[in-house]
Amino acid sequence: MSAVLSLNDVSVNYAKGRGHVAAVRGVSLELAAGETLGLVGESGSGKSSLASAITGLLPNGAHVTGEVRFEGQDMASLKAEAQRRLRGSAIATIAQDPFTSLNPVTRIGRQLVEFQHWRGEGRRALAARAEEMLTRVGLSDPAARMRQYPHQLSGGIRQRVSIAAALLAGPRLLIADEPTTALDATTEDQIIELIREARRLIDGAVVFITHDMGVVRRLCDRVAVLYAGELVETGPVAEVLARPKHPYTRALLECDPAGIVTPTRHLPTIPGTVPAPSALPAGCIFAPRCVMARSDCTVNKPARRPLGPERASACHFAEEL
Amino acid sequence: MTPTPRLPLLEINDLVVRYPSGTLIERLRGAPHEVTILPGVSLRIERGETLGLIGESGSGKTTLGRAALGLTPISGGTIRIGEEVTSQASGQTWARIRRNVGLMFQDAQAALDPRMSIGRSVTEPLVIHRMLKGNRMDKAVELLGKVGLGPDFARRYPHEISGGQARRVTVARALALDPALVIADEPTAGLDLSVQGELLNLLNELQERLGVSFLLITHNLAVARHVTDRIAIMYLGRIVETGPSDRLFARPAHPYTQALLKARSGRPGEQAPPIEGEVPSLKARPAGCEFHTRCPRATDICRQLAPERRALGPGHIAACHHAGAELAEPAPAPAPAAGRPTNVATLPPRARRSTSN
Amino acid sequence: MTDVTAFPARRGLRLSLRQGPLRQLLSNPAGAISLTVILSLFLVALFAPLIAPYDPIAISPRERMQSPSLAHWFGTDQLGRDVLSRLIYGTRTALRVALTGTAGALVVGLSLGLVSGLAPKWLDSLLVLVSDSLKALPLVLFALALVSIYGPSMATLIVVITISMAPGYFRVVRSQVMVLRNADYVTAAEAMGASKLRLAATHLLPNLIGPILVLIAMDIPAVIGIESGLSFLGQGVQPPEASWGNMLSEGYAYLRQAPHIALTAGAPIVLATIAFTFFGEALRDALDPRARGRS
Repeated sequence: MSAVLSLNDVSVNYAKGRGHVAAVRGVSLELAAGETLGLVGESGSGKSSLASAITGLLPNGAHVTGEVRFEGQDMASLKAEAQRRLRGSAIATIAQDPFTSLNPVTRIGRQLVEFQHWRGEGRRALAARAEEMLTRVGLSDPAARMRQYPHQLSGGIRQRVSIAAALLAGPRLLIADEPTTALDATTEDQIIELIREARRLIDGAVVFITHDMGVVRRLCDRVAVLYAGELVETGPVAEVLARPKHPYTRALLECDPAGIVTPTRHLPTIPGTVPAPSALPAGCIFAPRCVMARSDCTVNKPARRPLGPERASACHFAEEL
Repeated sequence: MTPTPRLPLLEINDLVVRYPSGTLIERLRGAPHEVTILPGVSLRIERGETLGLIGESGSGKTTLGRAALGLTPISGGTIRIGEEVTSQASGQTWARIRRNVGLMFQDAQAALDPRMSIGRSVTEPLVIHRMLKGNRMDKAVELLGKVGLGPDFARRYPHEISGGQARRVTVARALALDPALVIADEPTAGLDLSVQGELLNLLNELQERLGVSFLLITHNLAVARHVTDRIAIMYLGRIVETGPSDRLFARPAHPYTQALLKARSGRPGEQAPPIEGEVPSLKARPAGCEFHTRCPRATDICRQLAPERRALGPGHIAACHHAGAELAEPAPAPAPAAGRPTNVATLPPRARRSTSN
Repeated sequence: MTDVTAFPARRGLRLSLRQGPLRQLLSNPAGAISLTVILSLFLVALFAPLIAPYDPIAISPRERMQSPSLAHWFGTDQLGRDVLSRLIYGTRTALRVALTGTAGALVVGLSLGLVSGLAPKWLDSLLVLVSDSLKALPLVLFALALVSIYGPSMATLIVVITISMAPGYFRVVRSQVMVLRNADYVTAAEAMGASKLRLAATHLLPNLIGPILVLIAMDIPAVIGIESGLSFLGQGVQPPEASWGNMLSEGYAYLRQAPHIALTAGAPIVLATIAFTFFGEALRDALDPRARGRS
């Protein structure tokens, strides 16, 4: 089975002053067709930079090193025009706040038609396609929705519309960047089910970016944990959540109040803060905050190494966990 | 010890908040002139207690918090905090009430004046109420110290600190006047899990030390389960269920509470189908029980008759026609802690199923 | 000892805060050049008596309408007065009118704007009505009416400028206050029990300074234009006092015989207008945190 997406030693650098800082360093990942990958990290982990590197939507002054391959093709080797076409149709994104990705002064219907302009079909055919997609994402009166403006829709419905917009492109890779953080619990539930549904509709893979392990558990097949711009652990969701092989993953899981059975007034935390990419510690990047850290950890940087099939961790003592 | 008054610290009785709505043309067409955000809410908080006010967006939970401080005009009902009683008529009382209540915002960074140093921001309540003695910066350093921030923070500006630190600053400011009550609106929204834990621990520690009461407004049930004594669940501006936290999580009686507890829990396949539909518009409140449009248990009576609030146990009240029957059954989502066999604790941490997330 | 260690950190912070916008302003060529021009204009106005080679109102009939020469760099006018000296004193007039007129408009517009933004709705509506009515008055007709009542003078000119410019400040301040009122930090101060006066003084005003500074810089060329225009029509600054406007007007009459008078009077009007406009734009960019990189 060929990989939909493969990243090989990808780093994202931002210009700062005279030099640059690397917000993401040396990330390698493979994503197979039919798979949903959970990309997990706290703020400052570089998960959004990594997503931008895949979609090619990095801000000015940023550049990517390493290899981003989509369906075996090196993105960097493509001409700008070909890249743009690929990113417009084959790769689709769902943003955290659909309000910012929809044009506030244009009716939903017109926007959904314009998203498909590359198809070169008549307006009527495109509108019919859009209406059908709105029905598929669970909106009961698609004809009425087509005539509405984004501000007339509630957050949940807006997110459904933006998912419909993403799916209309017929993507083979869907990138969802924290699409449920702005939503209520019951609406979040609906959207997660919808994204699960969407994976069946598209002939490809989904990358789900989140900081919420609960969502990963429910939706994803594999998980990749980012910390301070580096991949610290990867593996199948069930295994990683049950037996994390990196102290950071373990600490993150322990912090989740939803995972603590007995109500407590003393919640676990991770002492210290995420290091800035311009001031990384020597040795293991997590060592200053790690409860397991030994003298070796502050000197030698652990490489990410395989631990059984499909599992990898960047910890000297992964076996002891 | 001074004799503690029997009265609860905060008592809200039948609070009504309405906003004018609609354009002139809509009004001429006969559309309603106003939207009722809170149709008559009653609530109380004891001294030293944390009440969790839970609801989704549009439930009116934020409006309730603001109305309690007079930041939103009140259309009816009374609010009593300590000895101060107010209604829509008395304007002077607000100043005294505000002295006794600290407020924390959802977006801590936005709640700090971008052109004011942290030290000045944190001491502002003292200046407003002319209670500042001695040097302002010394006092700022002292207040920041209470929330674990070093003295150098006093000279920084809001854009120079992190989200978690801004949260701590607003805690310090809310506590500057030794208030009896702190209203915290989504205090952990947008924080990373590890920082969220730190902040909640800080609030708990301060509560133990200072005996302050908290009104914790949140949509995060996982957080509420750990840090509240009592819970009130809001839907469309009404409190549909209230009770002691442990009891409410173990035996939720209202179908809406049950739906909230089911949401964000468990693994794929194991969980109940998500609750259908959207929250109805406040301009078109459903007849009868307002939850019936989304309720899996709705029957004819629900569509016609608004349910009475009924007591289901000590302090446990729900407004549902079918709530009584539900109590005979254990919680639909697996209940944590109370009444569970202890062998759950021997499983690896993530193998346990939790109530919510 | 603590003082010694605390001092450098403190100074560093102050410098970075104060110099942030200024450095940004100076790094923009338009900003640096326009600031230089404006500062030179102010210096010229301030030290006019020292710089001007001749008395600007001394008439010398024998030296009428001379072309530029070593003795009179910009020549002399129809009464034999030194054009350069009159231009130098004219700078003084222009800046004095611009500053007092703008200051008057600012005081009126700012205070009423704050009141309007915080006041009950009926008062707000009333103030908006008054402001919009003033804005709707044709400026020249309004000025001529005032002049015909009170006679042409610098004082009348400043009143005209204040009344015509104040609605602009009022609008900007009011809309900014409306936005800031709903900012969380203002609500937070209100929840602490702050009075409206305190809200205005400690939270609204400091956050209004940025947009107002830009507006001032953008408005000054308009004020200079009004002054020159009215003086050109003979309704502003009265001869023999020097103003760019009345110099232009007088030179205009002798455009054929001595074009240098009108041309040299027009040049500083154009220069000052362009300088203040560019400065305003550079200032706006420098004060906009989105345009400025975070330190």
